[in-house]
Amino acid sequence: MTKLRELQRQFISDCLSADLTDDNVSIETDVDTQTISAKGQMGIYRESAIGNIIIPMQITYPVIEKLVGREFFRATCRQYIKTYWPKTGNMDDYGQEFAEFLSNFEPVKELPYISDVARLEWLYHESSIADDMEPSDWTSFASLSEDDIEKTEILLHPTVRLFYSLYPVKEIWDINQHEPQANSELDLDTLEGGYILCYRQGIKTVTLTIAEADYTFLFAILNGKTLYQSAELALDIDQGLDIQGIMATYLKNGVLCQFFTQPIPNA
Amino acid sequence: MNTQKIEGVGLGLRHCHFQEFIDDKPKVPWLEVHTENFFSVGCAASKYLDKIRQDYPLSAHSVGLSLGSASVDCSVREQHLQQVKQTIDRLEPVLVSDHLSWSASDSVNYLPDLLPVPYTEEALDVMVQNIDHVQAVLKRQILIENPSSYLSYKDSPISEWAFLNALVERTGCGLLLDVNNIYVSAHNHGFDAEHYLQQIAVEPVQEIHLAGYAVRQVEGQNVLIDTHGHRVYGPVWDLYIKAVERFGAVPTLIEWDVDVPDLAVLMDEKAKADTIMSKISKGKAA
Repeated sequence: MTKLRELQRQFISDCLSADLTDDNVSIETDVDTQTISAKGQMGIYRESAIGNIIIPMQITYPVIEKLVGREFFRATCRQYIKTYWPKTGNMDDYGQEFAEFLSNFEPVKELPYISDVARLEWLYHESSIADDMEPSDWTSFASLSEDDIEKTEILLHPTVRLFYSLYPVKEIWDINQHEPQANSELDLDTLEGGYILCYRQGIKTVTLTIAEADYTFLFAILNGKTLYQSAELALDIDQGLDIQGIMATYLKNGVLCQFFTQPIPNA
Repeated sequence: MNTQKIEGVGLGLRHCHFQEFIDDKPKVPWLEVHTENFFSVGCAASKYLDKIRQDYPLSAHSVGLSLGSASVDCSVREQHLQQVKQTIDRLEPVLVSDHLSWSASDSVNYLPDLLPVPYTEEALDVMVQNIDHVQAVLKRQILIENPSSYLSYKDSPISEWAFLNALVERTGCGLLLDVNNIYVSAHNHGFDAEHYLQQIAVEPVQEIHLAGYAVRQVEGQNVLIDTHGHRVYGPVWDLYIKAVERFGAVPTLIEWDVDVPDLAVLMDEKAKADTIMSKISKGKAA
């Protein structure tokens, strides 16, 4: 291994070490320590890197930060970072495991919903940065034969994310989108969980509470069921469901994006 | 091929000012963006930028190409380079830049920071190879920015300015001279900032950065940290005057990334740089 390559391996290892002491800085002999120790110099980079990771976490998880407070959030991120260092230089990729981390994080065990709020924030983030896709020309859909309709498969817009929580995370998320106002407390004992749809319209990412039947319909489509199969599954939930009505709704907001009368390529 | 030019004093475009640039079109000759912030084509930031760049030429500044990495496993860096390429092809910036630094090693982790390179012949060969590769993939020249640093290697026999000049000679890259970084590193490592400026070759310098730093106490020593969270300090303005005297009216950027203030504050900093640039240019013309 070349000298530079080994030095860089040790540098990263020192930066990531949680228990860096004066005795165990592995690049000690490579650093000029006349005025500041190797540990001190390494600490500057360590703190700088952690700060550079916390900033995107704050952007992705603003509701979690509001719920637990700025300082607690920063301290929580520091714990998270110990296990989950960035794997790439694209910080849009970073933070996916935060919900799972919170679900096992002892200091927030009094907030059982917090993990699901984080999960919603990650889905919102994913939706915000997902690619665009041009919709099909749906005017020709009306003239499809019965046979074609039965075989039809649909692609949801790439920004669509679906989520179910036992907790009222949509209400928690909504109330934390604004500055606190009088009477803005939630009664978490009476509120119930629900089904959430997240998608992007233009530059705005939207979150909506939807009915279980709608969720079932969209979830089935997302998982490769045909339009016909998806409708059947949704009707099992709600026999009175107006399939044409929900198709019109989700066509209008762009959630249903492309349709195919043949199996979707690469699906 | 983008035939736009950038001249004068530009600003770093940050999210909180997007709408103002669309609605008010403030008088700024060019803008710099962080390439990594626009990797996603569909995100709101990219859609804002698509509108803004109709009125402003861009410089695209990367922070993650890790040009000083000696690692053999390049998959993470290669993936990053492809994302930079796609973004640059889309944004068509006039200038493209990254740093004399590294962020990724052989390990699976990536440190989101600009880590210091020892100035050795081996590191020079590594940087040359990586810059050559990036320029070949992007099919264009890139500028290399001098870093701020807080750590000195014992085995670093080449001066930073000689290292930068050698990169230019061996790769044909240009230079992005960060005057604040020179001041910060000169303070932290005890070299003469003006001497540094005098040693840098004139022609390759195509962009200058100005920003504010912070002071941190480490083991009883004042260490300057390049935070981009403050107005440009007086001694950095003084050094900027020397830089313009040497390098001419090179496009100059006011950078501010942390606790970004109202646009009026950035415009005020820009006006100071404008005044310096125009005074020295007039003096030279007289």
